[in-house]
Amino acid sequence: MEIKIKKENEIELFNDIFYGSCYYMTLFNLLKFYNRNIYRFLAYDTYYYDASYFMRCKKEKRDMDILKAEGIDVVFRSPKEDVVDCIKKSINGNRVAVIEVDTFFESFRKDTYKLKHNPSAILIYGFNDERNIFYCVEHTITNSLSYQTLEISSEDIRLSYKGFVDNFLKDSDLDYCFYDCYLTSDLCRDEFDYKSELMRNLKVNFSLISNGIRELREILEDIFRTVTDEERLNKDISDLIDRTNKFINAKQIDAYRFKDIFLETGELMLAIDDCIRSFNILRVTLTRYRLTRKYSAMNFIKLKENLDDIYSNEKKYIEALKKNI
Amino acid sequence: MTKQEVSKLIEQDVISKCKENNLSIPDKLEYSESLSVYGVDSIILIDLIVAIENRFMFEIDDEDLVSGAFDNISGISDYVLRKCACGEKS
Repeated sequence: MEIKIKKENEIELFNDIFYGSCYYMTLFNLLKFYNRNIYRFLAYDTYYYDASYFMRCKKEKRDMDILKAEGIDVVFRSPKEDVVDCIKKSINGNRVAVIEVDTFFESFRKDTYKLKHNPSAILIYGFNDERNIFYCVEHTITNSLSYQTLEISSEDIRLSYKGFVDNFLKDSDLDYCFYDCYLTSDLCRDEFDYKSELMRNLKVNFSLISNGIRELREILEDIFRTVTDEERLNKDISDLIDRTNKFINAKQIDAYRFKDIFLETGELMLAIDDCIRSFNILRVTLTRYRLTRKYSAMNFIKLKENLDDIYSNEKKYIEALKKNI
Repeated sequence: MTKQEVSKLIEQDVISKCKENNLSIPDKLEYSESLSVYGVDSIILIDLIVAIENRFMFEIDDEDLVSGAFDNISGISDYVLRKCACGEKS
């Protein structure tokens, strides 16, 4: 028996920007699957610097409430029976399933299969009993924009789901790792004005964003102390690169939502682009060091100019934001 | 060297770096295609750049790397040829 809630050519995939984690990428692909808008997510998130957490995101609405507002209801599952049977039940009930997995057990994931434990989320919209496969939306490389429709074997689904439960569920923020979703209405319940909501949200949280500049100063000073101390740098290099990736990702999200929702092209976009460029230079310098391990104190002292650029570009961004909201 | 020859060498480096990182990669790449399509992320790109620096024996400024010139094989080849031309003149 083969059941597909939608045909592949009818499925719109979200690969515009990596939205922080594959959990959100799967939620966005779920919204796209039901032809719903992702903007509500974008409108309610505020990114700001925090010296203890580096980059934080304040969420005005709960994820499941946003889905509900877009006409998608979610039911959490705690499968007592075989997860494969549970997913089939969901699909037989005209629902799509979302499960958390450990990509260590996904045989199509060349970057992690039997190499590295890594959490991910999969959207499942069909199955074929004869071929023992599920029809899924998943990406093929960690943290990449490679979401596509894929056929995944039942065995991979079973093992990778179990892998997540065994290796990640305890330490994750999630209370569940399987839910199914269905449409409650053909149309959204309200006419949501994304731009007004984003502006309102940014206004409400402006002090959080602008106070973040002091936190950023602290973060940058700490980075400078680290890069000018070879021993400390060797110890912290991977964390530093991860942190820099988070800063860049948050800035890319800002760029995406301003371009897409505000249709902004002026001063604000220039300021964001400058922030991204200066963070990118930092990432290049750090990554080059991690690969070559050639320490040159002079190079890292030169990096001070780049760190100062990051700070002044962020200040420009905050000033431009203030004028625009 | 011609652009075609430089591109061919860079293509080999891209394939080799992708294989080292367990990415599936075709034997023939589109020179104008963004390297991200083949799974090259910022880390693999820097690894590739270090290989290119060793192969062509010059250093690439970190600021140049974020200019967008390194998005595809064709752009990298243009950059390498410009750098080599500067080296020959100096």
